Amino acid sequence: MSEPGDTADAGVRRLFVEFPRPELPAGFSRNVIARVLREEELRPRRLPGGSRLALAAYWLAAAVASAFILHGLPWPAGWGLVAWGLAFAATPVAYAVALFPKRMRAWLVLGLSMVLPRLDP
Amino acid sequence: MTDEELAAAYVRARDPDLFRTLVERHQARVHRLVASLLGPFADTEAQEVTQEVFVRVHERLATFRGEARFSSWLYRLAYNRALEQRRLARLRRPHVPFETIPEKATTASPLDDVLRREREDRVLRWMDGLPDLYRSTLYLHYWLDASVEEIAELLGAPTGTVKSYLSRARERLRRQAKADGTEVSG
Repeated sequence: MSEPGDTADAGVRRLFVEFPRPELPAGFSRNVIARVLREEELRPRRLPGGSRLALAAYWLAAAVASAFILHGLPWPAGWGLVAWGLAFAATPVAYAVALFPKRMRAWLVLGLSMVLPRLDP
Repeated sequence: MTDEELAAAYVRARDPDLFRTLVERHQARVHRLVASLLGPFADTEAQEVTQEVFVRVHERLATFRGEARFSSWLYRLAYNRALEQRRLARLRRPHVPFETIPEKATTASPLDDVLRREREDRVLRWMDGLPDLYRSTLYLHYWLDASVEEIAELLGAPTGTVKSYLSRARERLRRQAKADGTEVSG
C-alpha cells in the first residue's frame, strides 16, 4: 500500500500483525438468501393504507370512550390515576409492542442505555 | 448492471438471484466495515451482523429511492448496525480480558503465547479508548489493509478527511500507549 505516512507508521501497523483476519465462510450469500426468504415467509403482510387509517380511527374512538367512562366513575383516592395510566400508557404500549416488536425493542434498549450507568471498569 | 439498477430490478421482479448478486458484490466490504467496529476476536459476531445487515437491506430495499448511491446507503446501514451491536455487547460485557480471548494455534512456547496475548490485550485496551470513527479507521487501514480510498467509500467521507482521521487516530493511540508506559515507534 502506498499511502502517505505509511513508512512512518510501521510501528502502528506492527501492533495489529498478530490479530487474526476475519473471514466470511464460503456460501455466505446462499445463507443470506435462505434467511431472507425464510423471514419473508414468516413476516406478516403489511396492512394497506386504508386499514391502517381504520385502525387508527378505532384506537382514537376507544381512547375517547375510555376517557369518557373513566371521567364519570367514582374512583377511590389514587386508583383513578392508575386507571388513567393503564388506559393511556400501558394499553397503547402493549399494542405497539404487539405490532412493532423490533422497533419497540430498539427503543427500549436505547432508553435503557441512556438511563443505566455504563459498566466500564 | 449498476447496483441501483439491480436493486430496482429486484424490487420489481423479486428474483433471488438479483439480490444474491448485490450481496456478493458487497459482502466482503460490509464484513470488513463491521469487523472494524467490532474489533478482532469477534469473528462469529461480525459474520452474524453482516448477515443481519443484508436482511435489513432486503426489508428496506423498497424504500431505497436511488437518491444516494446504493453502496453509500448500504455502508451507512452496516456502520449503524455494527455500532448498535458494539454498544449492546459493551452493556453485556464491558471489557474482554485476555484470558477469554480464544486460543490461537501456535508452535511458540507457552511463555511466548502468554506474552503475545498480553500484547494483544494491551492493544485492544488502547483501541477501546478511541472514538468509534477513529478506531474503525485504524482497524480498517492497519489491521484489514484497506486503502484510504476504500475507507473513504466505506465511511462516506472524502479521502482528505480519512487521512486526517488516520493521523489524529494514530496520535491518540500513541498517547494511550504512552500513558500505559509503551512507546509506539514509527
